[in-house]
Amino acid sequence: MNTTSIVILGVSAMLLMAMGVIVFVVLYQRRVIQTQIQIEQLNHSKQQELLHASIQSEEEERMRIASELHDDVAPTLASIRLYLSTAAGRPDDNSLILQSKVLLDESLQKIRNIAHKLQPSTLYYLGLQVSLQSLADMINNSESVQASYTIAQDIPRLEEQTELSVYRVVQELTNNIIKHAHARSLTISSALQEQQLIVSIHHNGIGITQQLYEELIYKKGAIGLKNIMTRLKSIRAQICFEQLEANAFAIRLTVPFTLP
Amino acid sequence: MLVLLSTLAPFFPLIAGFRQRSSIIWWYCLFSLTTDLLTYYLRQQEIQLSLPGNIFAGIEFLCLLFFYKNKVFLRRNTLFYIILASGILFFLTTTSLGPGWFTLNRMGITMFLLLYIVLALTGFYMLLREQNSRSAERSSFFWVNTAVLLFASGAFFMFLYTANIKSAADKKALSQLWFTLFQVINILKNILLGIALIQKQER
Repeated sequence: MNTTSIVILGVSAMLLMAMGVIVFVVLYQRRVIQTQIQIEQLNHSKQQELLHASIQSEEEERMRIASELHDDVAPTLASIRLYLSTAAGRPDDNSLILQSKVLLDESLQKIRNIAHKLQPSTLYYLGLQVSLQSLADMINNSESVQASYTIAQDIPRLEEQTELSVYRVVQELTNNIIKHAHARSLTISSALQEQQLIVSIHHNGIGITQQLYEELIYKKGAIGLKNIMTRLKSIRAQICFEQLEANAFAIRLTVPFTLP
Repeated sequence: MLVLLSTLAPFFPLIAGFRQRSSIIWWYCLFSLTTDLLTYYLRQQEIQLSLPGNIFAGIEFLCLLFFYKNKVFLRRNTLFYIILASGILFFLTTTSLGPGWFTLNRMGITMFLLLYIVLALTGFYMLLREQNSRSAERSSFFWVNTAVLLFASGAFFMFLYTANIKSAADKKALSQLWFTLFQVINILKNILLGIALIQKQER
């Protein structure tokens, strides 16, 4: 090989290597941009889905209240109206007045229940601990599930937003356990660990695992679970689903808090 | 024709980047044009004088090193000043003790070219590490890097092989080839620098 060929080959090889580097940089940068776009799209669609879930959940809540007022309270009030109209024509008959009084008490209780579901007054006045106890009692009174609440340490009063979010999440989780897991018993427990509130729910139904939870929140539907995720995110809390035995599941909430 | 094109090639980045006169690359192109015109004139007068070439090699080193100062030597000022001082010292020593100021210091230039390759590669690495959402081709730094890498890679081998030209049988033809290749690479470098100066400067 003569000197001319060596010079031409050498310079060509060096230029080719340099061009290889440049092409690599361009392609790599394009791939990075592509990935960034995909991540942005995924985040956008996730946010859309959460927003949609939140709106849908609000709509469902409105529908529930509307149906409770329409199907429960309104017929009772209509019956009272009928009883009172009849009683007006029979001044000597007290039984219809008494029946109306019973129905009025019933209506008042129903309205109180609706109001409690909207904004539990116990939570506002007495705090999370009493509210969780009250929630467990309410589930227990329904007689479909045996529920109990145990505490390791007294829960101090936390920030309003934290208390409401934890309460709502526990409420949603217990509703799901009753509705979907077909549990016969559930236990709510709470403990404090270094500026963290740990709330656990143990039940003997057909629960879900962490993996299934993560799959469900990225799928369409599962509005309840998405709301749980949004609420927990707002208070920087974490949730963990565990299967302890064949028919024993646990859900653990870890909530960081600062005392108000 | 090729010689003239190569000599006038720095006009392209100078005109294209006229609005970016504050850029160190624009001044580098201006020095490049001045040197090329002077060398062209000396060659026309058949004067064998490489002093402009040696001075330009030093200016080129300073321009490129200062260009990369804020891009490659982020928070590594000590390394920058070590390279700057050793580069100047090396070039002055090899020129004074070697061929002298009136002959081209090929060894010094070869070492500088090697340094430019390393700087350009590091520049690309920094560009990738930034993970900028803007595509690389829109960045002025990318085009300067491309120009420097292509020019330095091509010229490096040519300067490295210069010693063999003197002893080659076809010395004249080889010299002609050397100049042709160098002029092609020089034109390419100036086109790429022109593209770099057209792009919006990053802060």
